[in-house]
Amino acid sequence: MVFNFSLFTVVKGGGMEEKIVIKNFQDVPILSISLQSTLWNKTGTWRYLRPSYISFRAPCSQACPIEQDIPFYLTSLADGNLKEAWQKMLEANPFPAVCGRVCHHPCERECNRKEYDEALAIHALERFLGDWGIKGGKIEPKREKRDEKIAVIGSGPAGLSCAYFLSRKGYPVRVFEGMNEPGGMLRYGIPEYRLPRRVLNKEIERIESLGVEIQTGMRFGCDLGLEDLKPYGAVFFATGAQAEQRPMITGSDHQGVWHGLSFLQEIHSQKRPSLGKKVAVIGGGNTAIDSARAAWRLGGKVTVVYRRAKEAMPAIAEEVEEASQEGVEFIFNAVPVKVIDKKGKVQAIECLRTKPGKADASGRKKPVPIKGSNFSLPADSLILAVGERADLSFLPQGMKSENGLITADFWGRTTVPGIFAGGDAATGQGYVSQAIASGKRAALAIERFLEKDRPDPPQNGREVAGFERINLDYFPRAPRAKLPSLPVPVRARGFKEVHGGLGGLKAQKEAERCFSCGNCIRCHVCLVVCPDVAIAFNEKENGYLIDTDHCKGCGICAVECPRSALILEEEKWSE
Amino acid sequence: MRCGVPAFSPDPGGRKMERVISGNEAVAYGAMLSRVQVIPAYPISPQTTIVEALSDFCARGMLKADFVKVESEHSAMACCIGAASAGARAFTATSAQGLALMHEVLHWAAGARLPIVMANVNRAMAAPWTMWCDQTDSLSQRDTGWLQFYCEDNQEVLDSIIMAYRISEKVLLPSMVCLDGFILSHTYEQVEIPDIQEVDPYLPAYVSKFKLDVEDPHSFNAAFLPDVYMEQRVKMQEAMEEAKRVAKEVDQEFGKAFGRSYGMMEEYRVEDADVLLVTTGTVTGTARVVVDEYREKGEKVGLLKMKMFRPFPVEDVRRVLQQVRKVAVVDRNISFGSTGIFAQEIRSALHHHGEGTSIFGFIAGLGGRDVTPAVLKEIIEYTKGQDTPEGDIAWMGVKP
Repeated sequence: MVFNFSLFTVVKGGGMEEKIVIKNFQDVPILSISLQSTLWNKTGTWRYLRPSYISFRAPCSQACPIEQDIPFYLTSLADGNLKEAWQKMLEANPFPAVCGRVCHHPCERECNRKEYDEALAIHALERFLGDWGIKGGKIEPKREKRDEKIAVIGSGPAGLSCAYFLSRKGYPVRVFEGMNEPGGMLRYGIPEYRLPRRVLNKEIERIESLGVEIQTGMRFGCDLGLEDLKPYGAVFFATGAQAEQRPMITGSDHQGVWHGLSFLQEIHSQKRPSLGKKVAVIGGGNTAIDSARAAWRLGGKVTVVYRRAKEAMPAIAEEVEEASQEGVEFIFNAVPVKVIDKKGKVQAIECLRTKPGKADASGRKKPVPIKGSNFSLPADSLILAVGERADLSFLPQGMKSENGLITADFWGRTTVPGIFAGGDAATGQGYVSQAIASGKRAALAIERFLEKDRPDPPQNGREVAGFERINLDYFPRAPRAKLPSLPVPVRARGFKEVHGGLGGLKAQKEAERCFSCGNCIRCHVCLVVCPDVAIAFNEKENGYLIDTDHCKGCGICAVECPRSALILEEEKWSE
Repeated sequence: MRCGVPAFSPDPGGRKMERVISGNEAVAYGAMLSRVQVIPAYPISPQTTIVEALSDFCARGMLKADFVKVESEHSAMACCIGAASAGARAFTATSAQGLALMHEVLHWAAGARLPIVMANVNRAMAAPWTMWCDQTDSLSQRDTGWLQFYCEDNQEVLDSIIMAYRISEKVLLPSMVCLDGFILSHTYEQVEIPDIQEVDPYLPAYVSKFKLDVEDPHSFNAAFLPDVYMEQRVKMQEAMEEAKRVAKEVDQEFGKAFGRSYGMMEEYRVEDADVLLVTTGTVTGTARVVVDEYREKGEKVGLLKMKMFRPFPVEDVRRVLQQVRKVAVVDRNISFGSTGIFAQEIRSALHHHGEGTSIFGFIAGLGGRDVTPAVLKEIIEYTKGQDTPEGDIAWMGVKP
């Protein structure tokens, strides 16, 4: 058999045609293959849709108060590139090991993966990377030094976060702390079983290693005042909220009545107050739950009384769940009215049932006590944890708002130029990550202030990649990683950390579950599926190039992209 | 029913071995030993365990191939076409409705002269739903330009896959290797699995004479105008004719290398036969027993096994059948409005070439009905008792 691959018509580049004459049977090929290369045929001109790479905002990043680029560091983690992952994390968060333990992780609530099987264990992975950093991470040294000194009042998460970000920009920062040790609420408000001191100390040490000076035992308003801050280019107030609110309850000065924060501080200083057998805790926030679980660890039979329903509790839901597992009991929709005593010693708490009334300013229904619904809860001691306020007695009246906070805008700017504020004292938000976020925003605002009032950047308006944008065919179902935790009887014996961390392999496997919503991870699916071989990977740029001369705009790449990092737009041909 | 993935499998570098395996596993081993590179597959009973076994081989690293899960049989064949166009050795397997869904691309694969090999597990066509064996599915694809081979046992299945690549890659037409659904596909027999070190020299890596190349792109299969299309068709027919010679050669060389050969058809005890049975597929094995019985009684009954259906070995068929007075063709298929398909082919082959031979056409075993020795004996007795056939079709075992 003789093959002859000549084609009878050759189309030349300029549209010229050259006829090849078929003289006989032999001249006819067994199949038609063009003699010339088809590269001249710019099929890109057929295109009316153009694919282009895009980066949507992932819902987790959108939900994160400090706007961490979660898909980015999870992709690095999945690739086994821990250093890159940790460094990326540190760009947004000075406290990954702390947040990986105590953050309320709204990221997981928004995770697209929960619509498919289970949300990604972002919180556990943050902790994994944070712990890795404590062991082996090295932070990049700051590049240039700035002259203006910055003072930060308060060494809680907001204050240290502000100090951290300014210090990374090269500013010399001094932090003044009223207590004997830095950390604020992280140290004095969160018990060891949630956040071991060793972890907190290591993360604070890293901030100090950047050059941040922390001066403890310097309480603003006592040990130093506004005039002492004159040498500083800017001041950031993050004095927190430690003043405990007192409920309207008779007999709250009896022996055996505690306030949540002072109780937790007592625990922190290794004192083990004697609470008796039965402990009642009033409140539904994190301080209440921390107090209840700490009291349980001291051997008490603990009952939490909260005036609203379980769903309305401000405390982190997992914490409430774990408290229940440990045997803490809950009475919802009830308020204490009176401490019943015997010779000044607590015997029981008299409570009233409540029902939801009209919505208040925050939109939540205000509980209304039901007359005659009195009941008595036997108790040897009572811990009141119904909220904290900021104590701002040191500030001039003009800087305070009606709701008892320092008046400050989104960026932390107060009414006085050069003075900034954040954290619980200014925002009234109670979560650690929110405090870190306010410190971070203030650091950026201080930098702009010192650079002669550079304008504020526009708000991040990127579209969020919703669940409908994920191409599920590319993701096998996989169960969410579970943290190891101490059995309940072991927890009762002390304040050992309840949860362990993930191992390296488990963490990597969990990170592989990440959809990386709306963000290219160089998976090559687009490159593989392109029928025109019009997509090439550029090693140097770590990205893809689309050969628009030959891309016909079929859209298969965009449809197939597992994570919508490619979109199709109408092609606007310029005539 | 999942008569499945083998419990253990040969190391591709291992020695030849004997093993009891199903027909579907024999297909998978044949494909693995052929070192296929791309396997686009879509499941359909009774073929599914073939691609299950192959995906298992791929997953275990025993076979370095791209296993592509596709969304239909049409896509499976389209993907084979793409892979083969790029110079890869492509393989797939299907049955019945799946094969029918491929019909359009079967023509394309042949016209584009791509040496794809496909296993078809013969299953009767629906409606009504059926899972069981007959050969109407593959025989109704007879005009697509594919070579077709029908196998008698599991050993022949394995060997035929390897041989099919040799033949196809020589003549540049695709091959279909057919095995009877359940009767072979799910039946376990002793099979010798050749050593891949011996298969490699017998079936070297496929080097395509022309292939898609992104570095040097050309247009493939663009239109042929009426002034040349017909010549291209003549060349396809020439390749089919060529395949008859190549297939014999390949079979003989296989015999030299592995000690087994089959021929494109096999004459079994045909000497001086008064009645000659013509069978294909697994009916052949039953027919051998029946023929032996007749011969023992001193009756002159012989058997012609048809292995190759496309190209139809007309010359060989004539040579054998011209000598015989009565031929009983057993068709496990029906071309509605005509007759059994093998009977048609044989009548056509003998036209003007065997005026003294009477062709009796029987249709038996549709939709999985057993073709037992009793059925074959009835066919032989009927043929013995008639001078010429009463009609073009004699239906076997149809309820009165």
